[in-house]
Amino acid sequence: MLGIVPPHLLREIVNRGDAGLKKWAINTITLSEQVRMQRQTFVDTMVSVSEQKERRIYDAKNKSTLPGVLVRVEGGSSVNDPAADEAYDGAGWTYDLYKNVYGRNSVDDKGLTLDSSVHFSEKYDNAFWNGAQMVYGDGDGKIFNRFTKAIDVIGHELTHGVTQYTAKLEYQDQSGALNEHISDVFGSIVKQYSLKQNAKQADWLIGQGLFTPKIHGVALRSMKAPGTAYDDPLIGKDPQPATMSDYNDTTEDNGGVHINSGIPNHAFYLIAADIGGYSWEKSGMIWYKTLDLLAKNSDFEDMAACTFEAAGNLFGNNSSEQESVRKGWNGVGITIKK
Amino acid sequence: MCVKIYFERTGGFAGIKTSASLDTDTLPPNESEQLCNMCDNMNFFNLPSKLESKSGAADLFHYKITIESKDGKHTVETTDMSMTPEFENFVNFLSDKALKK
Repeated sequence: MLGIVPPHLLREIVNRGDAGLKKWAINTITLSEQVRMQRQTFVDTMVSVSEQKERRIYDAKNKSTLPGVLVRVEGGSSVNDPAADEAYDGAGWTYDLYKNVYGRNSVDDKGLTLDSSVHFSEKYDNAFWNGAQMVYGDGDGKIFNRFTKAIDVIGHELTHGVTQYTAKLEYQDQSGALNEHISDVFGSIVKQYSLKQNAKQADWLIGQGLFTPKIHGVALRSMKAPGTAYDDPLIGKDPQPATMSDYNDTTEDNGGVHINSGIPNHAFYLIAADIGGYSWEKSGMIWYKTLDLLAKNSDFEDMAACTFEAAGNLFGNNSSEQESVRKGWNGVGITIKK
Repeated sequence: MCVKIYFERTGGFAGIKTSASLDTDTLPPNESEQLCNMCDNMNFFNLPSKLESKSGAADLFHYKITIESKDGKHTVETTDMSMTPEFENFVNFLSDKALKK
């Protein structure tokens, strides 16, 4: 019976059953808890031992059952499938950025294996983080190419995992837009890190290469110039605002999480450009340290204040870096009240 | 059995909204029949209005489907991670239609 009778039913039996049933239910609950704890300890041990990157790539074979068939593991050679190989390489660059620059061992900082499934569903125009792994679609071929084609998409999805284990930002309204923003920031940084580009050389585009040549657009989003990434008769115009004066108050898309993220995205670009050099070094470090200062319901003003605090902690109060942070947020219409 | 279908897809990594309005009276007979069979197979009118996905997930598509028929009107909202295979077939059919409009 263990594991078959659901816990809520066992609790009901404890409350309402006769003496014999009550004893049986209590014993079953106790045993279930022991097994659960042993299982959890085993799982924790399994996932926490790795001090190196561990990647697993699965082929969902155009179905939506996850993870699919295992096609490549850590250290394995190319499998002659661009989607699988891009997912492997992109996860590698992302792991390396977090480990080498920020000292973080995978998304949970405990060496969690990075699982990715490619070829998800049919003509699927999307990539997502399901709370435990990354998932990539092939695109419909008319609007979108495969979603592994842009390395920043891979960095973006993995960073949702990092946020899940750190700031835990709620995926709704401004905290949700910050969740998206943080993924765009580190997604772009992963791309810059892989290309060894400084803030001036970077394109600051998110999803460059995802659109087919039939679409009038360079990417899905631009951190440098939000609202200018695409303008096409079939899919419309890039709706991202760059400043608070154009904030989009909407209920769609969890309160516009992919729209209003343009505002903090632009602030990050302004700050990284002002500080100069490689963005993963100073500005990226400020944002990484900010993850520990945020609350799950933080809004844009909280984000600005936390980045200002992080810059002070890292480089000193009244430092030029902290002043760049203040100026960058000012540039998008957010005043830091300190 | 089904008459009018309104489909809306929001969210996803791209955040691009797509939609379609279909009327089984004006669709080619084979498509109309296919659509009606799909509606019946997934028991649409008895599905809960919201099918929630687990927390921690991000960039999922959000689907909102409304069907109007002689039996009434019903709306279901769901995401990629909370669909039955029958519902997924229905969503794929509607997504394809939204793309071709």
